[in-house]
Amino acid sequence: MLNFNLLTELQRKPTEGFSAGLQDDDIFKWAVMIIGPPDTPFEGGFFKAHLDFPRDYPQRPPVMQFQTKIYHPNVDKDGKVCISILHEPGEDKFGYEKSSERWRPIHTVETILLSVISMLADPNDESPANIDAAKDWRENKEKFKRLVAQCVRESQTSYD
Amino acid sequence: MDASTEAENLDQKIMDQMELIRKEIEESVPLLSHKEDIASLAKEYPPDDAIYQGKIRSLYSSYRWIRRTRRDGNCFYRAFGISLMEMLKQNPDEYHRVYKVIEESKDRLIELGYQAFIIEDFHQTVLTLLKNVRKDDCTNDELVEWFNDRDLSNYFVVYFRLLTSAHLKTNAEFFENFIDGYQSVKDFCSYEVEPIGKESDHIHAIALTGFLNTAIEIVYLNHTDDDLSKHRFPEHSAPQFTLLYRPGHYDVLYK
Repeated sequence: MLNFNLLTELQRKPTEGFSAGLQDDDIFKWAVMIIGPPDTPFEGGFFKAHLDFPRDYPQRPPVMQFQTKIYHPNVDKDGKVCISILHEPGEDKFGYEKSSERWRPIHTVETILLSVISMLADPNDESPANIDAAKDWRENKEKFKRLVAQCVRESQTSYD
Repeated sequence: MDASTEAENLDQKIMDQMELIRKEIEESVPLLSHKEDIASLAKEYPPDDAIYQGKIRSLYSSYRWIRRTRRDGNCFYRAFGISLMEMLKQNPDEYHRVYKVIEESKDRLIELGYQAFIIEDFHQTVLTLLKNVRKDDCTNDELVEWFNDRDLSNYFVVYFRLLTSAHLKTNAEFFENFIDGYQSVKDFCSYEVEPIGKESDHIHAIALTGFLNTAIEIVYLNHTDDDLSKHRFPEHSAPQFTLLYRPGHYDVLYK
């Protein structure tokens, strides 16, 4: 089924906190840039990510993967974003709580990215994809902030 | 290997196994079967299970056929969908009434805050199905085939989940009393109604029949009571079609 949602959304005006475009000419491959939210350790960062949509989007969710290094409990070491709304019901790799919010076909690039921005501001350390980051976030905030600050600096130099 | 990697590997193995089971189910059972003799139900339970066998015998007195659905968490919507379409095919007055409800439902969803561009495809898919139902040469087999097309069928499921949500949200004050464990009806809809594959319960049946103003009966086949229990949605209505409920699953029953 041809997906008009993605086309329509591509033509909409950008929202605060991120920008989005296609990686190539493929409507199923998006490149996005998330700006580290203010008043969080990620403030000032420019984080590039790819959103890969399955052919049967929006029945199934896209995969989001950061291209910029980012230290966060819910981003695995390959940069994949692991939050429950990007998983269908029944997919439980990270031990999401039974009542965690799952993928809904009415999500858009915009609502996904807003969730990711809120994830940056408020990590979920109950079902971490990066155990070290979750541990530091919980037990050693200073170390966590220091490692994140490094990512923020690197993101600024790689951004041009 | 440290403990956490070991645990991760075990998790991975369990997930692979689950995925394999899911695929096996997917390949062995269609989304929606053709009508089967109701007697086929008896074979699913041990012959010496007096409660189930007794209840199944009493089903025979009222129902002749069963249409099975795949156990993928969307069975309620597919069972409801095919039954609704078959009923509408026979009943022109109901057809025109329901068509209008569905046609206008998009605006109701937009009023509730759903984005027009995202619900458009789902809405159009359901309207196209309804237009096909109206055609003289549309057969029940074609409808079953339609519901077995994964994309079309899932688009139907998505839209009917949204209609269920819409009724819950519009009547939030009433439904607030029945959503154990959730802060608000809105949350309940996001978590328990709108994701594809989330199982349905009493409250979903009440909401969907409420939105469409249709009347259905659900026959409960379980281990709890001695006799078959039947529930009508809404209560005391004359049902337009009947679903069979077994714990965690819905199929269709025919007289």
